[in-house]
This record gives sequence, structure tokens and C-alpha cells, in this order.
Amino acid sequence: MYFKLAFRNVKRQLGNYLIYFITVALTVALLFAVNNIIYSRNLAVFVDRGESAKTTLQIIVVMISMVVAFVLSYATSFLLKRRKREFGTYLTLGMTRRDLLTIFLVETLLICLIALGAGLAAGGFLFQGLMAVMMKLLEMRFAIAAYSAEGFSRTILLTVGIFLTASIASAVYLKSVSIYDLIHGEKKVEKGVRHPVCWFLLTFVSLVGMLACGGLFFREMDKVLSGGAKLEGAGILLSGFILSVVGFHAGLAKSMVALFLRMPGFRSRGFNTFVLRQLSGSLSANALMFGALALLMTFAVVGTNFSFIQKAGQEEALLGEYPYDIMYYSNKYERSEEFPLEAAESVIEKYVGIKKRIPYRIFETGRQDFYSRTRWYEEWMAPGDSFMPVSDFNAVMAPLGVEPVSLEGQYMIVGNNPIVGEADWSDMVYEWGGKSYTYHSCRLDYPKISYLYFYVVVPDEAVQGMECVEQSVAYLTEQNRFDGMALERALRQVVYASTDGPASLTDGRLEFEIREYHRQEENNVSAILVVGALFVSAVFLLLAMAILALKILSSLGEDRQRYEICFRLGMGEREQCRALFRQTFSFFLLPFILPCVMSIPVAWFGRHVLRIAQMEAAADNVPLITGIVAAGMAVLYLLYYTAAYLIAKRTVVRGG
Amino acid sequence: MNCILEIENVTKYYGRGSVVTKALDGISFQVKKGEFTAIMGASGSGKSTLLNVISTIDQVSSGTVRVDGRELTEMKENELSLFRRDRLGFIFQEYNLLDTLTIGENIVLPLNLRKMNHEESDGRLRKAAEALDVTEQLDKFPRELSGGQRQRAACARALITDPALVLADEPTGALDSANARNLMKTFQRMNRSLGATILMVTHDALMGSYADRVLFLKDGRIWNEVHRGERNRQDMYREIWSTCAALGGETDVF
Repeated sequence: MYFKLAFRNVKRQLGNYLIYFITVALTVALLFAVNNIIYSRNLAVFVDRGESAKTTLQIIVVMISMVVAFVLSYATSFLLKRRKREFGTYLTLGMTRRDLLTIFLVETLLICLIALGAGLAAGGFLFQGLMAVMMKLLEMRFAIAAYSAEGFSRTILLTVGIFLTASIASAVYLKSVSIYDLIHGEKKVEKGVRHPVCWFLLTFVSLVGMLACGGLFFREMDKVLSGGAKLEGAGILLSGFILSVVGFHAGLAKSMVALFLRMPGFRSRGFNTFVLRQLSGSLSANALMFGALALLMTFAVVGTNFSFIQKAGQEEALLGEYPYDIMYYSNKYERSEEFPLEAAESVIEKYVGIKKRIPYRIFETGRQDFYSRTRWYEEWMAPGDSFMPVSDFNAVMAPLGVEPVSLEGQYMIVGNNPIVGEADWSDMVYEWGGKSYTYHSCRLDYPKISYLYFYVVVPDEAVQGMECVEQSVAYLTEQNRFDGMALERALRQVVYASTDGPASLTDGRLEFEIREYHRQEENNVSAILVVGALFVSAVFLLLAMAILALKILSSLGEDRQRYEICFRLGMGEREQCRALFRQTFSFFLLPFILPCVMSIPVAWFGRHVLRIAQMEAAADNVPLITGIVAAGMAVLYLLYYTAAYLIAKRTVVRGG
Repeated sequence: MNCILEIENVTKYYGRGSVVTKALDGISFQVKKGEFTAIMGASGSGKSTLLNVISTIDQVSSGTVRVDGRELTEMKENELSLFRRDRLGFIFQEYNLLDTLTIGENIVLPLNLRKMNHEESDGRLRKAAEALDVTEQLDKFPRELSGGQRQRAACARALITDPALVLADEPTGALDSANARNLMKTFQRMNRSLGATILMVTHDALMGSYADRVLFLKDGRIWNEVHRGERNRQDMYREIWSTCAALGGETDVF
């Protein structure tokens, strides 16, 4: 009989459980997608660092599971609260608490099973979508990814575990709640907010704190990026920011309505008093929750944006770091034996073809005249000065579109490290070989062709008498895109075949820098970063939306009675809809405003960072990226809100 | 005297197909301005249905309902809302005060819905609160008041818009006998001093005895009608009691 009753209840109340159903289905979908990615054979093949990717995503899955457990427990308690009176009636009719629990568990199990089916189906599509994103990020050709049995079984296991956890919470509640509370509801006492001005002060102070922490963080980061300084007090600033966000929302939720209620002109207009009073209790009671949700969503916005910004800057960063397709850096101190360059070049020729070969040299004097003017010298970290003849410099820079440099009796400092920019050589006259060379310039914007902190470009005659320590080569290849990892392995085979070599090919040093190899490595990292950030953001957003929607829906019983009274007093259907919209939208929107607004400083900072790194093209794309992220989140948020509003409207608004 | 309420041949059916219930069966009557009328009858006689169609919360199946000269059955939903807001006052058995609003905010709510400016609505609030003796309770929430105080606040809310007709649905249902009598005295004061036209549904003969006129409903029809005339309340009560006995219904007689 109880099973029959449970089936009937589910059938009858499907409409009311839409949000519960959506929440469970979406969380199952996320779980299924991420589990399939972890155990996907496609991912193991594409991502060279398969294990690290797996570990990262497994951490995410644990996080998702915890979130799901929390959301589902909350959703279950929402179901219980909505039906307290009904359960109270069952008890008064002579049912035992055990019977009651059986009915409830059968009902929720049934809804969960339907949601599990829907979630698995949606997760199947989500998985393919995310795999498509990953393949795109890995620059692989799209192919339908295979589902894994392990991913499927893990999803089922996790869902069952989460359901059982939520059920235990329900069982504890049903075991302890009194019949009186079930029938009459726990007496809610509307407490007015005390000292709203103090709460408003907290809001203001928190806002100032937020701006100060953000500003100081940006300033510190600016120093780090442009001056090579260490990031100081990051932990304190982050803690300050977190406290400020929570304080801001708690203060706002406590003070906003109370202050509006003090404005007689405003509150006497239409149904403002009614809406404000409706909001007053719910905002005040959930003040801390708003802070926590806003924080989660802020992290979601910041994380997603930075993962995309990192991806946008990846190509330019790669070109800056590896301007040539292949670079050969030789250093006689690094490798004592003969390097088999010819054999290695024939491998490159075979794999990708060599279009152009540009040799260049580095010389040393053993002195530290130039380093003595840098911070490294003070820190006892300075090597000897390095010099490059200007003809070699112009030759290696020309294919990269750099104008040739003319140095008559002058020298030019070239480096990539911000510390170089701090040093001053303008008054230094360099003496060598009986000649004097004066300062020409110090440049940090040339493409990177050396691992040195900096080198000094001098007229060709100046290197006479210096020791040549590096004979490097830059290569332009016939093919732009090729399998860099395969070429890297082949070159290692060649380099270590003629020597005793390291036990593992990956252990030894390889003098070649292959841009396509690094691109693939970067792609692996950014694929994990972007997909991971998207997942975490989706989970945070889902958590926030589900909690807010369930909070709104759990009070519909009381709202219904209040709107009924208003209807009788002459509040038309349209006015009721407007009041309900204002009430629910304000509640739903409050924790989302800050994360949305955070897109602006994040865009500004991302753009600033990319400009410091001289990635102009990527910097120009940042506003578009942050705009799309904010719009995407807003659309998801509004869709969820719309579903919640429509259910609330159907339940609460009284028509003629 | 002007007619505030005119009911003509009103019929109301519930249900469809083979399961149809006739809740009102061709009812016709009038309520004049300043009149205090009670409607009595057994459970299922159609009292609440009648009040619901007059209050525009439910629609008639046939017939016409005219309040203050306006034909309700021809009004659209928006017009009905405005009409309810401006021309009708309600008093319910469970007070129906909004628990989230203070007493003052509850009373003034109908004026806020009219978008009346703060100064004017505040003046009316003070006046209504004084008339119903709830001035001391204006800043309290409904839960902080006794049943009688809550019902007086509900009366103040019903009167604040100066409605053409005050509709009361079992207003003493949730009160003890002392508070119920006090409320009826308040109704009489509202009727006599403030000129309110009141239509009250009750199943309590004692409460009915405070009205000027009592309509008795049976099976959706007006079965009998009692006028106070020059009689005192005790005589009116006896008359109601004997009518109830003849009616053979479940009306409470004390």
C-alpha cells in the first residue's frame, strides 16, 4: 500500500519537484561527464601527462561529489519541508515513522532514478561537448569519444552514495520531528533587523576592504610582473578579500531592506512595503549564505576568465618564448663530449624539412663588468658577461621581422628579464681589445633567442680575443605544424645513441627546443586548466542556483497565503506577478551582482598582464572573453531563475 | 436609501458532466446603503459561495451581481481587481493579516495599492486606528496581538479605503465569546457611527442578532428573512433562533 501511495504522490507532485529534478539531473550529468573524461581512452592517448590530468580531474570529481551530496541533502530537506503537513497527517492517521520514511524514500528514489536517467543522457552529450573542447584545445581532430564502463559505474556508485547520505539526513529528521511541528510548522518568529545602520556600515567597510584588497593585490602583481619582485602578503590579501565579500553581502542583506523600510515615501508606493517585508526575513536569515554563494561564484568567474585569458595568450607567449620552429643551444660547459649535430639535423630534415638554418655565437670574457651593475651581482648569482657579434644578431633577428641594428663603437644590452630593465649602463664605457664602446640601448622586447639573463650585442670586431662558448642554430622548418613530441623523441635517440647516455631518454638534457613540442605540452596544460575551470565554475554556479531556487520554493506555502490575502485586497494578477518577480529576483540576484561586476576588474587586470607580456593581440581579446563568460553565466543564471519563478508564479499568484 | 448591492437571479454550479452541484439557485436580494445584513444557514447552504461571488473572488454561472451600481459579471479581471481594491472591504475568519507586515502596514496596504501619497495614507491610518482602538498596536506584528486585537486591525484595514460594502466571512469564528461580542459591537459602531454597509456571513445566531436584517439560506436559495425593525437584540435573537429551529439546520444557537 505504501509503495502505491508513494507512486501516486510522485505522479501528482511532479510539477512541484521540477527544480529538485533539474538539480539532481544536472549534477548527475556533470558527474557522468567528468568521470568519463577521467577514464577516457581518448584523453589518455592525447594528453601526454595522462596521470597528472587524471589526478587533477579526480580531485575535481571529489569536489563535485561533495557539492552534489550537499545539494541533494538540501533538496531532500526542501521536499520534506514542503510536505510537512501531509506527513503530519499520515502520522496522526496511525502510520509509524518507519512507514513514513519508507514512503518518502520510495518517492525520492523514484524521482532520483528518473533524474539519474535524464542526467546520464544529458551527461552523455555534455561529455562529448567537453571532449570536443578538449580536443580543440589539444589541437586534435574531433572524433566521437568512447564512453567508459568505469566512468559509468563510478557515476552510479557516487550517486547511490550521495542518495544514501541524503536519505540518512531525512531519516534523522523524520525520526526526531514532532507531529505538532509537522502539522503546524515550526513557529517562525519574524525578527526585525537590529541596528540596520551598523550593518550598512559593515557593508560600506567591506566594500572599501574589497576595493583595497583588490587594489593592493593588483599593485603587488604589477610589481611582480614588471619588476621581478616576489608577491608579498598574498595570503593576507586573499583572506581580506574573502572576509570583505562575505561581510559585504551579510551587511547588505541585513541592512538594505531595513533602510528602505525607513523611507516612508518609497515604501508607501504600491506594493513596495509588501515586497520589502517579504524580502526582509529571507534576506536577513540567509545573510551569511549570500556571502558564501557570492564568494563561490566570484571564484567561478575569476577562474574561468583566467583560464580563457591564459589560453588566449598562449600562442603569443609561445612565439615570444620560442620564436623559431627549432632552436639548438649549445654550451661547451654543459656538454663535454661532441654533440652529433649533423645526425640530429638529418633527423629534423627527415621529419619536417629544414627551410633555413641560421647559426649565431655567444662569446665570453670571464669578467662581470656588465653583471656588476645588476641585482644578480649583489645576490652573488651573476655569471660572466656574454657577448654576441652584431652580424650574428642581425642574421638571427632578420627572419623574425626585426630591423637590423647598427652599432658603431657602441654596445646594446638585450634581455627578457625585468631585472635587466632596472639596471643602468648609460654611463658605462666598455673597454676591450684596446677599444672603447659606449652605451647604445637596453632592450627587453626582442624575441628570445638565448637562455641567458641578458647578452651584450657588440660590433663584430669587439669579440676578437673573446672565447666562443656557444654555437647555436635557429631553424625555420618546411612544415609549420608537426608532431613535436615524436621529433623530440627521435632527436633524443640520436643524441644519446652515440654516448653512454642516461638510463631513460627523458632524463638527459637535450639542446633542442622544438616549438611544436612545447605547444603540445602547453595545450595539455591549458586543456586541463580550461576544462577543470569550466567544471568547477559550473558546479559552483549550479550549487548557488539550486540553493537559491530551493530557498525560494521552500517558502511558497507561506507566500501563497500572503498573496491570496493581497488578491482579496485588490492586488490584480499582474501586480502579484510584478511583486513576486521583484521579491524573487532581488533574492536570486543579490549574490550574483558582485561576481558579474568582478568581470570588469578581471578583464582590466588580464589585459594589463598580457600587455606587460607584450601580447597585444591577446590583450585586445580579453574584454570579449570576459564579456562572453559573464554573459554565459548570466544566461544560465537567468534560465534557472526563470524556472524557479514560473513554478513560484504557478503556486503563488492568484488569478481571477 | 441607495442600493449598494443588487443580486438578481444568481445561480452557481460547481463541477462538470454528471457530477454537478448547484451551490446557488436563483438568489435575488438587495442591500441598502448603511445596512448591516447577516447571512445565515447550515453548512453547504451556499453562504460562502454567495459571499465569494459578491466579493468577485468567484464567478456566477448565471444572473447578475451589482455593487454600487456596477455590474460585476461584465467586468474584466483587471477591473475586478481595481474594484475589489477601491470599493470592497474584507474581514475574514482567520483575520488574514500578513504576518510579515506590522499592523500599521497591514491596515495601510490597500491605500498603498492605490498609490496614495504617504501623508494622506498616514492620516487615514491614524483615523482608522483610533476608530477601531488599535493605535497602540500599529508598530507591532500580528503575532504579538490577541485575536480580538487582530480582528479589530482587520476591521480597520477593511474600512480604511472607505468601501461601498464591507464583506465579513465568519469574522467571529476564531474568537472566544467575549471577543466575539466585542467584535460585533465594533461592527455595530462601524455601521452606525461610520456609516459602513456590512454584509456578514455567520452560522452563529447570537452574532446574527447584532445585524439589522438576517437572510436565511437553504439549498442555495433564500429561505427566509428577518428584520430587526424596532426590536431589541434579545428579541431579534429569539426570532433568529426560532427561524433556525424551523430551518432544521446546524446553526449554532446559544
